[in-house]
Amino acid sequence: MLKFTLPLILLLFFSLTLQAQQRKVAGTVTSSDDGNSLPGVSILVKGTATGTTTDIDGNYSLPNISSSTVLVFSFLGFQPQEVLVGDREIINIAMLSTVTKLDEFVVTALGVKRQKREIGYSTEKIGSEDISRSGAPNVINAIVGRSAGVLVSQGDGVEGGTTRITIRGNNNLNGNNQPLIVVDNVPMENTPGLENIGRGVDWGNGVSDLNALDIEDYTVLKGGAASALYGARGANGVILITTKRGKKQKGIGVTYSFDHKITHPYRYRDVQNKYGHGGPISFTEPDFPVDGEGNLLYPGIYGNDKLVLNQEGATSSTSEEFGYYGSAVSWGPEMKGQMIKWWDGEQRAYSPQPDNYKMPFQDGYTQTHNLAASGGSDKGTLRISLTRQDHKPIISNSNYNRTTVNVGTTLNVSDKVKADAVMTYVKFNRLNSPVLGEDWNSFSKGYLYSWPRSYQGIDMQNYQLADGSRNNLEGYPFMYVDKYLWWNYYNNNTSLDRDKYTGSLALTYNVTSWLNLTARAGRDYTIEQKVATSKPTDVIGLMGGSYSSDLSRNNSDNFEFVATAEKTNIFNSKLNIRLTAGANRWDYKYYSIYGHSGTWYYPNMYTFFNYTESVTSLNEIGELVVDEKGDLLKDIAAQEKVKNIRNNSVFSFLNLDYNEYLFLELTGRNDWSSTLPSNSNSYFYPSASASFIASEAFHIQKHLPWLNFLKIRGGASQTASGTDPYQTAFYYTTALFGGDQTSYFPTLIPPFQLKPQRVNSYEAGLNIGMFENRIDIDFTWYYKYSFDQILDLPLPTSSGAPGIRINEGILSNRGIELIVNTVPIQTSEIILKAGLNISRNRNRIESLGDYSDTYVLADIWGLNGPAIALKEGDDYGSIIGYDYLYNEKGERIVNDAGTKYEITDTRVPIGNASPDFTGGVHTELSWKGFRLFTLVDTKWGGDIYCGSYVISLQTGQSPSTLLERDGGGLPYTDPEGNVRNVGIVLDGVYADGTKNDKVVHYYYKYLPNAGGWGKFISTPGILENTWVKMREISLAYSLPGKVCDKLRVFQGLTLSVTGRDLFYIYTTLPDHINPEGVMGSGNAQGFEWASYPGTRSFSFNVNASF
Amino acid sequence: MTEMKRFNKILLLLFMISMMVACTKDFNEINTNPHGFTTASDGSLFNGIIESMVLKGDEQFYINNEILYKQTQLAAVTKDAWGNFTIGTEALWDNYYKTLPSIRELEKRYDAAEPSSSINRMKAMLDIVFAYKTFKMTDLFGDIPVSKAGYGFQDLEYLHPEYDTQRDIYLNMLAKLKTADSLLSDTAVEAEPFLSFKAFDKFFKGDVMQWQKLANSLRLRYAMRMVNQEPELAGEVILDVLENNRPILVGYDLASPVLESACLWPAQSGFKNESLNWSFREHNGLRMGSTLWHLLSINDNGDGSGIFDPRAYIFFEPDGNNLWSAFPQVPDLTTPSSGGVPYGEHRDDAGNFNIKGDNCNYSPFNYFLIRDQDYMPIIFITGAEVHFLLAEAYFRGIGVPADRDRADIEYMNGINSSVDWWKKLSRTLQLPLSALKFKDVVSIPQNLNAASVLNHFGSWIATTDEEFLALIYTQCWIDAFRQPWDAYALARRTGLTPRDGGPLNHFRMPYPPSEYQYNSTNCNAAIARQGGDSPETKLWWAKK
Repeated sequence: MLKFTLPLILLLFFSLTLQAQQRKVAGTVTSSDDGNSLPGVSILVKGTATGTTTDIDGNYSLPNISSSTVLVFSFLGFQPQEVLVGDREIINIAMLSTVTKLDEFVVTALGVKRQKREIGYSTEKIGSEDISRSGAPNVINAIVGRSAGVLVSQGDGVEGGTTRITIRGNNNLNGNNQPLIVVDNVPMENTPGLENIGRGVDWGNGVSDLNALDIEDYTVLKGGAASALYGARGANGVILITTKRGKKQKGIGVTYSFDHKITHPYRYRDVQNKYGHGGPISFTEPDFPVDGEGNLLYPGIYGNDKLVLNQEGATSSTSEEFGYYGSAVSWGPEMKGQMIKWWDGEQRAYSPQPDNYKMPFQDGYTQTHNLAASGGSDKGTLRISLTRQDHKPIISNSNYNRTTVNVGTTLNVSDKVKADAVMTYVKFNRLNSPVLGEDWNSFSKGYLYSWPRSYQGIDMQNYQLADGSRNNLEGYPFMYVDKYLWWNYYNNNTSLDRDKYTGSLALTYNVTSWLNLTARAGRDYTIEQKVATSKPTDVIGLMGGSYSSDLSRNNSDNFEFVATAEKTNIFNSKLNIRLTAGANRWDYKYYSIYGHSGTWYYPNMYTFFNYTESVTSLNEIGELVVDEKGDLLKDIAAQEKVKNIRNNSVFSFLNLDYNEYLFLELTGRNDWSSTLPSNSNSYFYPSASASFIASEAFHIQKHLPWLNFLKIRGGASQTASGTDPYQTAFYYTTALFGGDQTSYFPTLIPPFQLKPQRVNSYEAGLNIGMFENRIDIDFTWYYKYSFDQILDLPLPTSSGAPGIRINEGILSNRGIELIVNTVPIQTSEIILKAGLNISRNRNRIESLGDYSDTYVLADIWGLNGPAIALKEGDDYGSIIGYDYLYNEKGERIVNDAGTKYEITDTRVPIGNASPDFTGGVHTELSWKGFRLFTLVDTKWGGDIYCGSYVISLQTGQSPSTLLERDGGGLPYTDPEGNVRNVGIVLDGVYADGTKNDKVVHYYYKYLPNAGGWGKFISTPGILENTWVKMREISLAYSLPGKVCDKLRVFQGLTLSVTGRDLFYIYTTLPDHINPEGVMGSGNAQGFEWASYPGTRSFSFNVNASF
Repeated sequence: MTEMKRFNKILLLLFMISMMVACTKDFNEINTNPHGFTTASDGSLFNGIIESMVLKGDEQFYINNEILYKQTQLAAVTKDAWGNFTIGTEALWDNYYKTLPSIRELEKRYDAAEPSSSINRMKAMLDIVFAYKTFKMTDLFGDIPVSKAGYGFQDLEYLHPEYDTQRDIYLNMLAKLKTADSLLSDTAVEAEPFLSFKAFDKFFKGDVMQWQKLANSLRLRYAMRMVNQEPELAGEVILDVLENNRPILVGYDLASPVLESACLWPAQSGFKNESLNWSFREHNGLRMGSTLWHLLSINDNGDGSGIFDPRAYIFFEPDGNNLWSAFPQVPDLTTPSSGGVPYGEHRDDAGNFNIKGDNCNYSPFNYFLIRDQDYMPIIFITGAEVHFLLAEAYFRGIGVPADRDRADIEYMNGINSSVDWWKKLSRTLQLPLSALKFKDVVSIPQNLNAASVLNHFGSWIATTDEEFLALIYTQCWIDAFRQPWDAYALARRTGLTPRDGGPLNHFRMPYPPSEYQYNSTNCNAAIARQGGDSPETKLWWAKK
């Protein structure tokens, strides 16, 4: 290419010199960011309509230009520049990218691109660069800390888990509160993922299938007005994703990028490494049991009812005194390397194991390769992209990979008809996702609750015998985890295999200059298979073997037809009008079939067919006798699940625009939902929004030169939604007993009058641009009122059902969002941008209807522990539990023995998970080809119930439990009469109000009064969870365009390094417990239990275009 | 021109789409769960109610094995209990109240139906099960919601039901049983819908006479249970049954064994009692206690040479050292701790039967009894118990004139029935995998039988009235070995069942936490009325 252009320019040069007065002016336009040439830049001779645009190489030329001509260079996304020609004949321009967000374009409902300035509600856009640079676990996580009012959290676990997204709080008391994700105008299925707060296996949700490298940008539509046109499903906000399309470009049009990310677990819970295994079985100094020959034996965990309380010989039981504790209790003797007879019978040193619970963790990595080709002509464009990602998480036996093929094309069928098609295929394979939280196969629970500080991982190393069969681990002393956890971990595998096809096809027909019709069809089709195999535990290959397969088909079809009529300057006025009307159908179909093997008959055969037939006969008196035990047919038969939903809609919206400073949008939509009864399945909801650019209307800048933009906006809207299918009829549950059918009533009284759930939203905002938009401020206030909410409330079982589904819950959200973007430094060499966003949301439970004032969102142990609940009059996410009993002076009451606090009979609110505010600060420094980006984000305030904290106190693992054991307590006389400084006095008063002064053993500080399973005090587990995090630092370098041109290999080359989730600047949780280790992605946030260590990642990226 | 045509076509398409969209066609079909049952036959509802009579795992684990065996001293808990009895009380509550809507639905259907012999029979069977379940609940908790309970699906006014007093519950349920007896006396030929319905009766396979016997036997039991509080009303019920020769379950008819009982027999009814073994295996704390042992054996000889009651061999087995050894009912600091895994499923496998694990140094329950999910029945009432009830009635002259001779006969028949019934049962028990039958593994010495029991516990050894009553209660208590809740009732009513240590101070279960949390007003009213919610609070019928 260079070969041709150089002579051409020289030729031009010579020809121009011939005409001194009216010359030809030519040059190249590049971007100052990366030096790449910019095609399609418009160049106008100021004051005329004459001009041109740059070609594919960024070159332009204009004939007949005089010296006094001023050229205006403008291009979307860059600051316009005016240049006086003077006597120059070659004018090369480096354009500065737009640093202000005020006049960027955003995609709005139904894919309409609009200038942000004219919109009456709050939107935010994230570009491809932000997404790919961040190295976030998925596309949506890239928004963390960047957007006000959007909360994104990643549940406990390893990479590939579910992501929870909420926009401006929860709109629904229960059920899905996550926004609708729309990819190229086709709504995507995004299930909430793991919702259980206590236990489970997190297989991730649909968001993680989005490929960052295929995304051009995405826009977050926050308010109701923004989402009214996505109907019910948009009630929680909408994230509109646009994927890349091909374009004309230099070179061969191929880009390749490679990314290598290392994930490093670093933030482990602090533990003491001095004292080992042993339960609170005696008040005397902990010691080893001794056998007849004087050998020290492995310490015991559980006492019984022989706990000697005092010198008088009074006894009690350990459970009476200390409640129920896990076998991780590390109240035993000091670990000094003593040789003792271990539980497996071997002599082993009883020595500190400081790293024992780092054992299952390793550094993880993610490798991404992407190859994309794109090109275009007048006839259309095409982009093809292939991405391969391989993940090795921070634990073993859990690898996964993803291959994505994306094809996007536009076709100009004729002058008037355009077609746009996109097709994405994702292949996802994953071997196991870790078992989390409170599960008998969760090793993180093992380390917290079952394995003491002296744990040496013998069961982990010896889970299998030499012949491949399972080691029975005779003498295994730990409880509450599966004795065969490690066998199960390595041998009981589940593999997930997902094929996901999404595609959309749109046809646009510009009937006349003012009328435009679009028809669109989209499909999201997923086939997923989960195969679980358990390896037989014996040598033969029969015992304990199992196989199951769960195959599901998930299909979401979307059809849309939209007509848009547009008229500018109506009756020669400054009024522009646009009217859109359309119809939409959404069909959702889910089907799954699940089957499993029975008692194995064939060795090592993983198939449904592997079951044992039961052989029966009749005995002499006619009774049925089982001769050979086998599987019952009802237990072996495959099971199916079905879910079908249809939603039909018609909608219309009207846009008025007066003189480009007053904008009004009115929308209306009517939905028909199959999930509601016939008398309420049709429902209408409207919205209105307006924006007024005062700075233009009143020419404010004339009076206040520094204020160049001022916009006031506001809107009101309603959205309504249906619910889950199959609630309008009454269904009995059924089973078999004695070979005949049984019928039962369901466990929930169904809603007798089901109506759509509605949300009314109001929003007002102010945009200010100052100092040529070097400072831009966006402030939003909103209020949302959600009513007719469907939720299940608890009833006394004596009513016949433990719950009732009602349709009358009310909650409200009110909040503010502030976004400030600044450009403190801007020269042709250096640009420094800095931004801040902050948001506060109050999500209040107004009413739960007549039947209850509390609704339990989730708990782990039923009534035997704390729960996340909704409580009338309280903010969303109350944590309820058993609290101290206080006297009128607010002092805690202790029992007469001074050993235990008195607690409430029932669970009462003891905390709330709602944060005071969330926010982020980011900076971006560009210098020549370098770009340095930093991001700090914070969650300020809000409580969690921190199970790891409570249990590490209860089990004596926390370093803070060393205080008294090391002699830092009060003098205490044990039952044998020895006095040691191991006593404590509980802070509190007796029932009569006198101060407690009884010195008791330190066990009473940590065991019965810290919490744990059962009806025990929950309050100590409530901790404020505030953190400020260095979320991201990244440095990128782009080879300047000129260098690329010289090398003649690349059209562009960018290298970058990114550190993500680097460290916490500030955190309130003690003992280095993971502040973001809250489990699951359901509505109940605020419960931590045996979370994984915190991780940080570093990635290296190369991006080359050819 | 062509432009216009095309435009028209597109308009037509738009019109068609709108037409398609605007209607709610197919919504009914789309929103119908293809796998959901919107109707339930009377029989299938009844079958669910019968299924609820199978003891659930948590009830067995946390109530029976944890509390009742210990309190009744039918066995000993060797280790400190887990103490989380609320799991058990919630399970009891769930079992009763989640079944109640089905009972209310059937009641509603029968009230609305045209009266007929069929409807009467179905209604009677329903009421008998309802009464049994209700008595069992109230005897564990005291006042419970009944008359206004279980109506939530029918009427939203009844979501927080008030509690009935135990007295009202007793009188209502006894009346129901009486009505059931008379409804079942109809001798009309069986016809539909009863013929379809009775196929679902996993209890008695539609045998109306068995139902009638159960109804009247229960009337005797529960009349007797309230005798201290309501002697006259109790007497009326007992008299009504005896005077009118209402059919009752019989253990011995004169000198010939009949050995009737009301039980759910898993294999016969086609189900497996799966939670039975779990509740012992996971709990693993129950062993033979000294109280019962000393009523089955004259001495502590480990070789079993002192055993005179064959039921020792049926209820228990020797420890890991093949010795008979009872855990002291009231252990002290010197009591060696208990170990072993005598209830582990490993014992099913060939050759493993005798592996009871290290330190299994006390006699466990007989493995067959707690492992056989096919042939070990769930017992509701035995013929033997009916004899003991009659012995008490005749001895004390309740409803019938006092008759010491008749009381002696009933007492003797009670022992005969109990010993023979258990011996007969033991011969049918077997292990699921090995098909080992009881008799092949533990042979009961031939010389042990009802007579050898009577030798030690004949009525003639009683010198006072109280001693004779204690004999009756003792034998009734032994017979209830697998109905610890009934033995618990007997212990609370009489205070004369065998016992080591101090007197019984455990009279009821506290209400489950869910009632506190969700039905607090009514629950608190009931607690206030009864004088507390602790185990020490006596029930109405145990107050005197």
